[in-house]
Amino acid sequence: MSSQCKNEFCGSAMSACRRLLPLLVILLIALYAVGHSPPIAADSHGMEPGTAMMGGDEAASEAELEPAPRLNRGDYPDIGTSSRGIVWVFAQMHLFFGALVLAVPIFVLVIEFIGFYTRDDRYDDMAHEFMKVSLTAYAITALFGGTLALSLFLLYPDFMSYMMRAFGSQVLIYALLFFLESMLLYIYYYGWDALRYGNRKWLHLTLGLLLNGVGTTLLVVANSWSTFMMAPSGIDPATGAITGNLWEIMKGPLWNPLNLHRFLANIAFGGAVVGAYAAFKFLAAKTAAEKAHYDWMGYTSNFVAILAFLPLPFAGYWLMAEVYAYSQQMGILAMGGILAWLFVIQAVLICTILLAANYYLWNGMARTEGGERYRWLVKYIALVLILGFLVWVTPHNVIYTGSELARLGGGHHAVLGPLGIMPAKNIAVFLMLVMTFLSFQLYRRADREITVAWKDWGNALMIAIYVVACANIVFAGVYYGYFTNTVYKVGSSVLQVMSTVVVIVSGVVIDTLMFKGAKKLPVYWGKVSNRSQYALFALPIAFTWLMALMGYIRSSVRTHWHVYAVMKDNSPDNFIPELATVGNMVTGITLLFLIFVLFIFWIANLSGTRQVPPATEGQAATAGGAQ
Amino acid sequence: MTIEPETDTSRSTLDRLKSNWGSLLFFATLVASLVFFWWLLIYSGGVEIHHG
Repeated sequence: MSSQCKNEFCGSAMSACRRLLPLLVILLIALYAVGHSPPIAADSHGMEPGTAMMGGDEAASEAELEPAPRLNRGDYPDIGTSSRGIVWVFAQMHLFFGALVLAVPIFVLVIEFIGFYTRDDRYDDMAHEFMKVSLTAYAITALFGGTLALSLFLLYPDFMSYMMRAFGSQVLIYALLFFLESMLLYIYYYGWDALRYGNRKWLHLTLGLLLNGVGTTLLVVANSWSTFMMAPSGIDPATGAITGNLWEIMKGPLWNPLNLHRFLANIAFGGAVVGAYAAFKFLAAKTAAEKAHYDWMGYTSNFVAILAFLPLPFAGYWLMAEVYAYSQQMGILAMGGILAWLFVIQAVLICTILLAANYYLWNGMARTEGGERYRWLVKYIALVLILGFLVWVTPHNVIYTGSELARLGGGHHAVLGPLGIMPAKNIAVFLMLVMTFLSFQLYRRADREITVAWKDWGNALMIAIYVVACANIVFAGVYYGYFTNTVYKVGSSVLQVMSTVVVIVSGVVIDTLMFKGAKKLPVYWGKVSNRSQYALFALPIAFTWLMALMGYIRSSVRTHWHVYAVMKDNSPDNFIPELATVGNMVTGITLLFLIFVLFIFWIANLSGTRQVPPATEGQAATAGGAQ
Repeated sequence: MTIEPETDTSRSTLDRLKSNWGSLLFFATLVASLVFFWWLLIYSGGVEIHHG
């Protein structure tokens, strides 16, 4: 083996060791945690220490009935700063990076499959480049995960002891899955070119499938910890004693709604982050070929982000419906109490996402000559989006001074007051979603000239579906929202969801049929304004902010409970902080994540940079001087 | 995709399976993954979910 080979080998080995180090840390923490879970029930039932470990059904059943710990202020280590603040930052950063590294391989696998199916290497290369971003983020995910685990065990030891008692060996399975995920990820990425054609490509796709299977399992396992804290199951509600098996503890009422919501949100978030990478590369590109490649990459990322984003509100509705069903108090606190104010900020962020995504699509129509046909529609779509934005951000309750109240003539404005409640906001949301789909549909049609004989009928049918759906959304919102009782008010949103879904599904079906034999118009990739790329930057910023904000709401609905209604939080931080503190924390964490994202982009870019040898530099200088 | 058009009738099913092991592996893994997630997420396991 030559010395160069040895160096390369050593370099690779060192690199692999560096990557596996964070995982080893996590496994050790998990082993430590499981190994140091208190011997079950020895103390609180007057048993001799170790009795429960000796076997025996009676001892085991006694052990299982140990109640949840009741903590005092002194049970929490004081390190001189807010424990909640520390855990908040590390948990949110871990969730951001976890979302990114779990989501990217999902759509990478789909893109790789499309490339294999169409025999178009461009898809394959793009998928590989997406993975490069994800791979760099992976080590950071593990480091934040390890730090989070250490923080939790250090700052909330009794709470973590209870969680370990509830979930037991599942934590070890989680750690083992993490190892498996790491191995599959590295084989999937580094084996890309070695497994490129024929059966070997199928093997590579299989590895991608396994990688996603393990990644999604990691996601849902971690979700079960969060949902157990919000809506515990498999326990005695009076004492918090663990009465059920792991299956019962995991399958709480909020588990699957959160699984679906996070799964979709992660894909939308991952798409948005790699879209920003493509925009970064597009703006830095020197050649037309590079611009074309990164323009296409940015378009694909935006497509992925919006595709996952469109059904996200429906998953959110399901989650909130289950929250209300589990505890009305919890639901009302989220959407009608102090936290409701944060939903106004949520509205601003979602509207920003929708405006940015639409703006990008409108700009993208410039890539093809056929886009001109639909340009006149853009101003009407923009009008609906802006009106929807304004309605959505209109608050219901505002804190007024006495003189303001006198001038207003009451607590609510006579005209704008009705816009502050949910029916108006539902109309706005669903119309914005329908208009976003319209932008998307026009974009898809921009590079095609439809030739089927029934194209006029097809277009008429599509227009009719849009008109009826929009009328239905407005009618259901106004009539059931303002002129009937509350039961119908809530039910009306089902009609609105169905109207939106009908538009999306029928739009896809009708277009697929109409595109048969359509004449393809040339698409000029790279011929898009630089301005549009800033829309791709806006998307991940808004998504990140949104995730931090909504994650906080989901977590803080537990108020002063570690595990809702079972294990009380008696730490100095057992209160909902004021909104200004929340805003600062959420914004600070978002900025921190974005700084890390820039670091990742820089690292990913660095790997493709090669220094010019010094001799060549000298020659180039000489040649330049001679000229 | 990688499944070649059937021109050689003398090839046995086993030969065809051997030459297309990659696609078979992929789809078998896909089915196994779907069954696994059905078991993990949808199958009740005898557990009845209670609302508070």
